[in-house]
Amino acid sequence: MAKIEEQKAMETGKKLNGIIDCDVHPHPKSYQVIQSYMSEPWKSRFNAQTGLRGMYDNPIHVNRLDSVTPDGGYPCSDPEFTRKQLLDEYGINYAILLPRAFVSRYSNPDFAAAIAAAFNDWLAADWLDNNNDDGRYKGSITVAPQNPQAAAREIERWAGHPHFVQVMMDSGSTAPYGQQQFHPIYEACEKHGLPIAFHPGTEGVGINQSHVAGYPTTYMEWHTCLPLSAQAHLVSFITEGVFEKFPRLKLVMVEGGSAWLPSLLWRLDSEWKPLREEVPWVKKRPSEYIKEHVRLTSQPIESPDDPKHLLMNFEMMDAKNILMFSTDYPHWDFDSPTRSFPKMPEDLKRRIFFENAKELYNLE
Amino acid sequence: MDDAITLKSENFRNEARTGVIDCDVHNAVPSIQALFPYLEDRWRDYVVEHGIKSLEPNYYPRGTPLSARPGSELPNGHPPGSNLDVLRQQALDPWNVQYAILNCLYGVQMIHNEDWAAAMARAVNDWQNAEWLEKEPRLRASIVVASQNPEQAAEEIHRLGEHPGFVQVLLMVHSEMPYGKKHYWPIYEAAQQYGLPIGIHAGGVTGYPTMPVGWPSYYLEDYVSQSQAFQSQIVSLVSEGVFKKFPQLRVVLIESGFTWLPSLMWRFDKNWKGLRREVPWVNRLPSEIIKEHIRLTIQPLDESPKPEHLLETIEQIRSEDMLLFSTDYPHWHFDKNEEALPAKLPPRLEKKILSENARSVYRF
Amino acid sequence: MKKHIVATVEEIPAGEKKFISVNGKSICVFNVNGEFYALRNSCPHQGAELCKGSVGGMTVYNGSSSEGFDVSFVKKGEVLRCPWHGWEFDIKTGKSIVDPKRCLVKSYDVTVEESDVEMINAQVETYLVTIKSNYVLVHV
Ligand code: FES
Repeated sequence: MAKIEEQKAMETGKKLNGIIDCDVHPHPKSYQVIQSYMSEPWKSRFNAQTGLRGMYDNPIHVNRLDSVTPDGGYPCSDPEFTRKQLLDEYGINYAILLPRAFVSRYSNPDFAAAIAAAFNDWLAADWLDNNNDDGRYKGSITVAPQNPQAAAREIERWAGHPHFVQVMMDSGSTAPYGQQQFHPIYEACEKHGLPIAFHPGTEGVGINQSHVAGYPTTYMEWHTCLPLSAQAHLVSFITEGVFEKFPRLKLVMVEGGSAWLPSLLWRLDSEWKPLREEVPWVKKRPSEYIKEHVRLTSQPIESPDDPKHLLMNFEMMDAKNILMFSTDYPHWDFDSPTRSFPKMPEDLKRRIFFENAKELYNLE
Repeated sequence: MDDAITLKSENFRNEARTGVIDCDVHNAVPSIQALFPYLEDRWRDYVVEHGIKSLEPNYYPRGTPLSARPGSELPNGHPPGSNLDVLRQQALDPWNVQYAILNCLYGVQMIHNEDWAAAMARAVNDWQNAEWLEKEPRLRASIVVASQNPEQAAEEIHRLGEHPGFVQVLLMVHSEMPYGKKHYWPIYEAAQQYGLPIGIHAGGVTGYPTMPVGWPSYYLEDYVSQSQAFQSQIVSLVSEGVFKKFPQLRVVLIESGFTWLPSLMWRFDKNWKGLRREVPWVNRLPSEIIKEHIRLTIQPLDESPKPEHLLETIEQIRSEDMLLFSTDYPHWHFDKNEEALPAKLPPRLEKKILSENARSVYRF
Repeated sequence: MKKHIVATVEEIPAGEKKFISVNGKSICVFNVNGEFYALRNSCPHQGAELCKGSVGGMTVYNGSSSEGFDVSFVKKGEVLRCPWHGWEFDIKTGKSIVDPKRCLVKSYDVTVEESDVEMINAQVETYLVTIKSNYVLVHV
C-alpha cells in the first residue's frame, strides 16, 4: 500500500484501498430541500413533488435496491450511510459527487440556472462543508449550458471552494459542446483549474436532441446509445479546436462508456487527414489531444465474454493514462470495485483506480 | 488493367482471378433530365415547372477531398460516378470485379412529399436498369426506395423484387425515426419475401440533426458521426425484434465503419442482461443476433496507426462472416488499391471478405 | 449434508422470505406459493446480496402475432431480480434467465417436517423450544 493510504488509514482508523470513485450520485433528501435554496419566481415553479425526467424511465429499478437508507430515505441521500455502504465497504479514498439535476432539459435558461445553483448550495451544505470531516467527498459544480455566461458566473461563485473539484453539465444538449457559444464556460473552468465533466441522462428529454435517429422506444435502446452523445461532444471539442484555445482545459466523459474510444479516434484521425483544411486550428492528429486533455470514467465498463478483449481495448485506448474508475453508486448499473474488472497488472490497476483521478483532481 | 494494381497477397491474386465482389460503388444521376424518360408525366411536369435542377444530395460536397477519387471528376461537370465507361475503368477493371453493387445516392429520401419521392425512386430504378444493368453484366443494383412512406416503398420492392439485376433494398442511415419501429416493417416484409437484404448507407433525411447532440459545424464532424447513427439503428433493429419477425432478413451497413462494433456489442449485451424484460422477444444475446443478421462493408477503414489494432478489432468481433469488401468508388478513402483492405489479414478471412461473405448475403 | 431448522412454516408466509446464516453462509429461504426454496444470498454476477432483490414474475415471448409479438407475464412470484443489475433468477432452480447454463446461484434442498425440535439431529441455532410443529429445514 502506498504511503498516503497508510497515513490516512492511521488518521481515520479506516482501511483505504487506493480507489477514487469518479461517479457517485448524491440525492437530496427531498426536493423541498432544493426548493429551500431557491428564490421566487422559480421557487414556486420548481416542482418539488417530482424530480422525474419524464420519459425513458428504467423498467427495473433505477437505484440499487439495497441502497435505500436505513430510515427509508432516498438512495444516496445520507452522507453517513453512503460513507458506510460505499466508501468504507470498499476502502474508497475519495468519491467524486455528481448530483443529477437534469437542468439541460429546461427551455427557460434562467429557470435552469436557478435549479443548478440550488443544487450547488445544497451539495455544499449537506455533503461538502458538513458531514465531510474526512474530506473524502469532492463535489461537482452543476451548470446549465443554456446560458453559458450565467454558467460561467456560477463557476465563479464556487471557484476556490476546497471541495468542489470540477464543473459538470448534462450531455443531452441542443448543440455539440465544442461550439463557440459554450466557450465562456470553458474559459472559467480553465481559469480556475477545474475540469469540465459531461454526464448523460437528458438525451432526447425536454428541449434536447435525441441521441439517435428519432426517438427510441425502450429504455434499453436509450441507455445503450448514451455513449453516442459522449462521442459526438468529443468529436466536436476536437474539431472546434477547444483544446487549442484553452490549452490547460481538461474534459471528463462520465458514464458514457469507454471501449468506443479507439475506434472513434481512428475514424477521426483517418478523416481528418483529407479534411483538415476545413479545421486548420486542429494542429495535430485528433488522437494526440486525448492524453493531455481527456479522461473517461469506467462505469459501466464494457464486459466482453473474453476478458482478454477488454485488456486489448485498454491498451488501444491508453487506459493507463486516461481511464478513471467509477461505480455510479447508487444506480442500478453500479460497477463493484472488486468484481467488475478482469485481472490486470498491478500498475495498470493502480493507474485506473487511483492515480489518473488523483492527478486530474489534485488529490493526495 | 491487371498491371494497374499492386497485388497484395497470394490470396488476393487468386481472388483477383476469380473476381472480387465490391459491395459499395456509387453510380450518380448525371442530371435530373437524365431521369425524365423514366418519370411519369405528372412528375416530370412538376419538376420542370418548379425549376428543380437536381436532387444530388450534399453527402459528399463537391470539392471536398473525400468526395471524388483523383481522376473520377468528369470534364462535362457531371458528378463523379455518372459515366459508365469511367466507372468500368476505375472501379471494375482494376479489381477484376465479378460483381459490383451500385448504391445510387440521390436525394429522394429528402423530399417531404411522399408521392413525389416515390415517383422519383421509381424513375431512378428504371434509369439504373436501362443505363447501367442492361449495359454492364458485372453490375448489380440496390432498389432505391422512398422510406418516407413504407407502404409505397414496399410496392416498389414488389415491382422489382423478381428482377435479377436488383440485389438489395437501399435505406439511408439518417431517418425520421429509428428503423426498428413497426412503421418500417412493410419494407422488411417485402425485402424478405424476395431474399433481398436491406442496405443502410450513410446519409439520409434533412431537417434532423446529424449528430446525437444537434447539428455539427463542420463536414468532418458530420462524416465522422455517421457511425453513431449506424450504431443507433442496429440497437433499434435488434431491440424492436425485427429479426425475430423476419428471421431471414439481413442488413448490410454500408460506409458505416466497423471498428465500433465490438464495443457496442459488449455494452448492448451487458444492458440486455438486466433489461431484457422490456424486450422479451429478444431472447438471446443481442450480439448473437447482430452476428447472424448484420453485415458491414469495410470502407472507410478507420485505421489505427498500429495495424495490429485493426486485426485485434476484427478478432474481437468474433465472426468471420460479417465484413464485405467495398471500395466506395468514387469516394476517396485510399491512395493505392491495396490499401482498400486491412493489412495482414489472415488469408482465409481475406478470401471471405473479398467475395465469399457477399455471396452468402446477396442472391447473385 | 446436514439439515438445519430455520423456521416454523408459519413464520414465512407465501410470497415472503427469511434470511438465515448457516456455517457463516448467508442463505435466504423463500415461500413460493406454499413451497419452500433456499438460495445462496450472493449474486454470481458481481456478488450483490441477491436475495435482497425483488420477487415477481417475468415477461416472456410466445411467438409473433399479426400485430407484432405475443407476450405474456408468467412465473408470478417465482422470479428473483438482483437488487443491483436486475438479472433475473428462477427461485425454484437458482438458474438465471439470461444464461441458465453458466450463470446460476447455489440452491439448497428444503424440506418441511413435523417434529419436535430437539428430537431431530440437527443444528439448532435459534430455536430452543420443544413444541411439536411444522418446521422448515434447509439441507446444507
Ligand atoms: S450483481 Fe446481481 S446482477 Fe449484477
